[in-house]
Amino acid sequence: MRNEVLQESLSALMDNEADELEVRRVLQAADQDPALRSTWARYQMARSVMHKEPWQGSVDLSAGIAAALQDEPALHLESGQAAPVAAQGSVLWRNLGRVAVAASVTLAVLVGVRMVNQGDAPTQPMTAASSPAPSMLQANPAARSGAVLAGYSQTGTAAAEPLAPAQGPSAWHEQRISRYLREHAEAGAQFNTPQLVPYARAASMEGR
Amino acid sequence: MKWSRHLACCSAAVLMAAPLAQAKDAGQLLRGMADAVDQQSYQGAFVYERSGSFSTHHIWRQTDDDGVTERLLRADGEPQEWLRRDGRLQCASSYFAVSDWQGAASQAVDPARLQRWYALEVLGSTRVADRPVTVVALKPRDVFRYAYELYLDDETGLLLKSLLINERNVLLERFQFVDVNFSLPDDALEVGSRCLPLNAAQPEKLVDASDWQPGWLPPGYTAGDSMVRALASGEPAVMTRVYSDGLARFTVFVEPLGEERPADNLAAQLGPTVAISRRLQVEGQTYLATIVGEIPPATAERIAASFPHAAVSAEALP
Repeated sequence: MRNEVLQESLSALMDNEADELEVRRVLQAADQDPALRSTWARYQMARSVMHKEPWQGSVDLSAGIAAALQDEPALHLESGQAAPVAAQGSVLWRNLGRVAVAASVTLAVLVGVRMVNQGDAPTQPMTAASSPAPSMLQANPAARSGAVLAGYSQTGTAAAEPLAPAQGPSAWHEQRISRYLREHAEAGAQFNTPQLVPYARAASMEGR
Repeated sequence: MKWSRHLACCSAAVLMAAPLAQAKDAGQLLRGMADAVDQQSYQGAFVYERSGSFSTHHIWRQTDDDGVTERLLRADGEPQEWLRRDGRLQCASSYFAVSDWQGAASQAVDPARLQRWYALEVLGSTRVADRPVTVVALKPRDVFRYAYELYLDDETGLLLKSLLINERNVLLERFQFVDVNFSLPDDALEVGSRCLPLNAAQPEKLVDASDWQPGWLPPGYTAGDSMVRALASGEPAVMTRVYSDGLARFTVFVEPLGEERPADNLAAQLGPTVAISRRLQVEGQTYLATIVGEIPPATAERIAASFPHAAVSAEALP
């Protein structure tokens, strides 16, 4: 309960709508609660992204690392490991892949509170993703054919709820999605194949 | 066939002909990969990379008559450590890493089943972690899943590298060993002090959750156990169910919404993992169904839209 009040105060603070009491409450709680402090930091990062504010850590290292990896796997791994923690966190925020579901009615957001305008053309994720992956799927031209999506739009979304209001997800929902992502990744560690990949996915969600 | 620039480079420079390895077909190689999970002890270091994230990890893994013990350590950022015995978490350094998930145990690879939904192909040989590997490609036969490239150690069958690739040929994630060694020091599995023993598991039960089955599943996906439990004390229970086509996975979560738990339809993406939430109305109560998995967003959307309850949503009626 107390936590939810704090979350609300924090949200208000981020929207410049907090009163003095709320500001003090958040400051005091953040002093004692690392979790709240990290939530606050994430909100700030998210706001920076949404408002296109420059954020000091927003240097994308992973593209260079990925490119290096393609040529020299073992040698460049060490430099990846040495990447500053702050930069690593920001990379995640900056480059969360966008959801390519323009035909859908759901409000697209990126994990956390970053939103993608539904009208945005889906852009390919940056970083490693922009380098062509070896060999796959050239033989599958049907993959982007509109047939499935169109059929889906008629049958699937017709009965769905109207377009969600153009605002971010609630703090609760945001936390929930994070929790679901972890649960899903953790559950995957129960499966044999490819055994370490789900673990790595789960571990990579830490420390955001 | 139009080959990508990258492949052209690779096939010329790296993928050498390896008659010995290619004597095995893709199915045999996948079976070997599954056996290696059960049988191999090793230690190694690997990297994981997805859009916006790059992390480095160590693993120590011991298999013997008592089962499998593995110690995992994230080597960058905050120290994160896990110890698992036969897949069950024994200790963890991070609250967030702790899931008391105890659903169905490991699922063996079944090449015959995979063959229905993926075209299996041996691409050739190359080297990972200074070891010769054979590359097996799994290309989806429909639009409902992603493609994989698995790099399997020629000697042990161990998966040393895997790539997940979408339909636009974009690399979604990379898992890759840097170094692997098949002998373990005696103290390899001793965890550091930061690995905290777990509290008693929260009560949970396996239930019949057929009411919360989506109306449509991508072909080839079968349901695992379903489970109902609260993710935290004092919260309403969440129904959780895993679906898999033998390789790819998604999880369905359904839980009641309330005034203190507001949520709208949304779509989110974290690297290769998509999350689609949809509100459902059932007998006056609002629920949130969320699909999370390494599947194409359009597939997840279609699953989420197929819940029968979505059709009786009050807001959707004219």
